[in-house]
Amino acid sequence: MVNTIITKNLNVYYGDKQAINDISLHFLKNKVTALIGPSGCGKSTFLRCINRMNDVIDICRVEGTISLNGLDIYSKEIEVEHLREKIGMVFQKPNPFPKSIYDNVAYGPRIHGITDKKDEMDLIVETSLKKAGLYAEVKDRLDDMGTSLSGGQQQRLCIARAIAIKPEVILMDEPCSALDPIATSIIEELITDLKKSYTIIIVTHSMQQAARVSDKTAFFHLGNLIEEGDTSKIFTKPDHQKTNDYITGRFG
Amino acid sequence: MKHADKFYESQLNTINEKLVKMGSLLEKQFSSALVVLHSRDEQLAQKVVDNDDNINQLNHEISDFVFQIIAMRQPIADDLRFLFCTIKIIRDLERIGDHITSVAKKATRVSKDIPSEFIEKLSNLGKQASVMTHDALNCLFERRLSQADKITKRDDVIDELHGAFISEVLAYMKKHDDVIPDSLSLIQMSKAIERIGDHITNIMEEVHFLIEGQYSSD
Repeated sequence: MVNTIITKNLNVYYGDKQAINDISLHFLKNKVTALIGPSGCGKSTFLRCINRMNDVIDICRVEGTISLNGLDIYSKEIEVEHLREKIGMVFQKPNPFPKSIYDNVAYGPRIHGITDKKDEMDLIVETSLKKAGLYAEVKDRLDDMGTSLSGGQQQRLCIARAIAIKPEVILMDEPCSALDPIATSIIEELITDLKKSYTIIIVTHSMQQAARVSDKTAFFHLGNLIEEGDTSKIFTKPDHQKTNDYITGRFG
Repeated sequence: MKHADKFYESQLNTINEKLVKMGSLLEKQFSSALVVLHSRDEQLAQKVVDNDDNINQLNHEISDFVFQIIAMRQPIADDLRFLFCTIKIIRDLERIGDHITSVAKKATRVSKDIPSEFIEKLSNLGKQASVMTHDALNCLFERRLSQADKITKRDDVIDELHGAFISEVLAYMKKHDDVIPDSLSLIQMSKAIERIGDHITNIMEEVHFLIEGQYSSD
């Protein structure tokens, strides 16, 4: 088992308020890890630290280390743009650019200078859309606006956009919360498929979704990591009473 | 800690209450059947037979209810373990009810000429199984395993007593071929009680799973 991401003694503060309290976690390569916990428990903050999205928040301070394949992602040598080539992200609400379907996917490879050749770019777009399970539905209208797609299709477009730059890790922050059950199950199937090529970390409020898609689950509460382990164990016999209480709906 | 959703909490409580009711009905049935063993009271035996319907009814009610909750609530962790075990335990309880009924029915058919020591031995066997049932239900309702070893040992005692009893009855049959039907009833009653011990052992395995999240390695 290879760890892709390792966090060590991670502490995150927003001004005086501590949002993450000394969290050390490993994320296995080609596995899906679900981060669960009540609102405000720090799971999204934690996720956002992994691709340094908190850098733009002035009052946010990060202590401890996060490493990607052994490299400290907060070290001075690492450029944030380069980091995000390695770590893609998919958000709660599908957020395609107001551009064509083709350009949405080609945007990343273009700005990262992956290619400027038309035929190579065509191939990247096609492969990424195929991997995201969207190609068959859009192949005849790649020039249509990304925003013209349905919610579920838009989210798959965002996934295609994320994987077009060949990342190693995909972070997903509640990727299905705005989708209907059919679109959700398509994305979930996709996640299972994508983990063959990527390491996936997903924040979700749906216990059933965490149980369905993840191999590992970590439960956060009030900025602390309460428990992490195999998903099958967490959802049948968690070690901690707090985990049991949360996943069974016993938190007031 | 209670569930944030009060209705869900009350649904789970209802299942627990029905389970308690099923258990206490069963214990009552057990003591009546043991009374019939001595008295051969046909009216009481009939009452045991009639009351078995209530146990069967509870079995269906609980399993319908558990089915609904699984579909509507998608329970997990300790809630899921509880519902999963309940479904299995009520089957055992229902079968125990059938065995008790069988003892009550057969007891009325045994002639008074049968030596009383056989009835005493059967009664002792029945008491062992009755205590075992009581202890196992307490483990279930109190979610504790402290009695588990004692219960398992009692099942071994029942198996031994049953084996010895069969041998004695067979020896008796050989000498008295006019009492073969009665002797057969004695054997069937002993077998029914021995089977109750097995069902209790099954229930204890479920209680172990409920509490520990895995089946006992024994």
